[in-house]
Amino acid sequence: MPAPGTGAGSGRGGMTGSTRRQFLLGGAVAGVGAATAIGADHALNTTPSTEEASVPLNGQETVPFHGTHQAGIDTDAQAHGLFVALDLLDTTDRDDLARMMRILTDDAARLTQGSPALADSEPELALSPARLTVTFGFGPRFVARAQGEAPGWLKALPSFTVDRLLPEFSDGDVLLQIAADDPLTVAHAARMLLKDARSFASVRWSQQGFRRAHGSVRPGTTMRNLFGQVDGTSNPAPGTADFDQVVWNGEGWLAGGTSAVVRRIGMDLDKWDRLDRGGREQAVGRFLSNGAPLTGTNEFDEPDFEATTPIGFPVIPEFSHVRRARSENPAERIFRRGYNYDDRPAGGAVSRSGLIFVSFQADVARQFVPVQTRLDQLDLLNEWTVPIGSAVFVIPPGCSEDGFVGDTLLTGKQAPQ
Amino acid sequence: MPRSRPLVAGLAVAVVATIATAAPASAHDKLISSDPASGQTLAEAPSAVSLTFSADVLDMGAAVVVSDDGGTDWVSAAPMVDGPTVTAALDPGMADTGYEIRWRVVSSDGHPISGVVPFAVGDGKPADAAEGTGSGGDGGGVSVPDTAGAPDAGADARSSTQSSTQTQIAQEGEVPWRVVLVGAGGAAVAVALLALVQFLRRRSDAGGADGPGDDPGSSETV
Repeated sequence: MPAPGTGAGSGRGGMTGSTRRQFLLGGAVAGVGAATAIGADHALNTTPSTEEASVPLNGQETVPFHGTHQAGIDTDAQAHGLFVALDLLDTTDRDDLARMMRILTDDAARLTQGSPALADSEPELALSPARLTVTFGFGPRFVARAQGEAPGWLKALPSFTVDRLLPEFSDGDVLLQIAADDPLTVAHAARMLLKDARSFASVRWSQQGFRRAHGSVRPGTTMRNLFGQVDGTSNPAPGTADFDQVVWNGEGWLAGGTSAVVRRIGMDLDKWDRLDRGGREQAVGRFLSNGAPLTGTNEFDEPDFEATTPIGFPVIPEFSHVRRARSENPAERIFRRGYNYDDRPAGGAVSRSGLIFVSFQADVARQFVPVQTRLDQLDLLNEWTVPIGSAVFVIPPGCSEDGFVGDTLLTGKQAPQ
Repeated sequence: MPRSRPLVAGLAVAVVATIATAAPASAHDKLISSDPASGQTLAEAPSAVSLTFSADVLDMGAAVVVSDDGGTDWVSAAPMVDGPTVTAALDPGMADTGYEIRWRVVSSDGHPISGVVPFAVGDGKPADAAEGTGSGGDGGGVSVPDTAGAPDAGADARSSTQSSTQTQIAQEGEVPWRVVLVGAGGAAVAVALLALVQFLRRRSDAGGADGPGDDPGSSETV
């Protein structure tokens, strides 16, 4: 390369130094012009958002704790979710369970409303609840220890051929789902709850998950997982009769409660990288851009499984995730409320990521198992995903202000209306 | 006006750089041969068709239709996947006419691919292959039985073959057209201004040397 200014010499390709300089100058000027125009266009056409000035801080937002149902299920999913499973100590008996749930309920009731827990060691951390919810679940051994009647589905899921379950992410006697739009709030709430639980139970596993930060996307936007997919489009909408039917159980001490399936799904992002956009979309049956089915244009368009390509194959392949997850039986539906996880990579990989799959449904056996059985038999997405953890919990109903979560099981109290 | 050419080229580069987006690498398998081959005319009706791909395809999702002009499917059973080869048995009694093998498999990287292989029986004529046979097009001509030892290991590393298949939905991320247009407009205005400035300066230079000696070959004057 001739130094700038010496110029001569390279007449290669018939381009003289002068014309080359002009070329570069032309490009640079064009670039500056483009940037200026785009910047000006943007500045002139973006409406300034001044209305936010008077909006209260998000940290002050609270979700009611008491009620017919526990919070954290029909609550618009917060940005950060922590799932902790506890093992009961051998010495913890039925009375202890009631004592533990009374204490944990009190902690949760205070913390979710922005008040420090009793004997809170860091009370300042409680002052920004940021929509904190604490949702309690019970595993099979809890209900047995409580001498309560366990629903038939309260047990480990049938084993699926795709499963590669690790005990450190599976089962458990108590579930704490702690979620807020602020990770510091989540950490503090978890610490207070676990300190109060430790004379009754020990931590079995803990899984930290995240979604978009608060304010990044419009509230109610269907989440995206780390494959980039819009994940959860077919969920029933909270507040509808459909949602109530899918989620809430009406039986006995469980009336107003539900069930939670928590599965850790490893997602092989490195293998996914080798699949182009068209392939990714066919694996799921939806467009990546907005989650619309391959036969539609908008996210919530109904998939047309009959539509075929010009040579006669289904546009939404019969082995795609959407097709396989969909049942003819409207009862076989679930409400998903999962979180992404992103662990430290190991073994030369550059990612160890996935989804904390969380679903709520009135009846695990009737709703979840048929869907998962179909996906286990055939789902192209299985090429990139592997379940590595699995747990089933019963989610008791909510409680009134003078009660505690689990009181319908532990004291025979009527569920709040 | 040869002087304007570098400017235009520079503008073009700027615009292309604005629009260009990185396409993810793709490494789908390809149909490398078939029996019957694309466009082949068989003396007698075949009892099966087979398709051989550049790597083992997934057991999942293989579908084969052998259709005559009337749309009748002559495949008698679900296709069998054996490594890179997919075989579909046919019903007997195929008439002398043109047929299409319409196939879809899931390639080793998980990408569904599909295509059409026309052939004929007896004095039939193969259907026109021009209707877009996806990645199957190059399997035509002679079907070479070179598949037994086909190296599967290399399949993933194979460079992008960009097989645009029938079922592969053309999907572009939304191109920000407004930004592109505004940017191109801005670039054009800036380049026009530059050209004008240079033009005016040259004129005012009273025809003297047009630079500090770095353009000896320039005989062009404005």
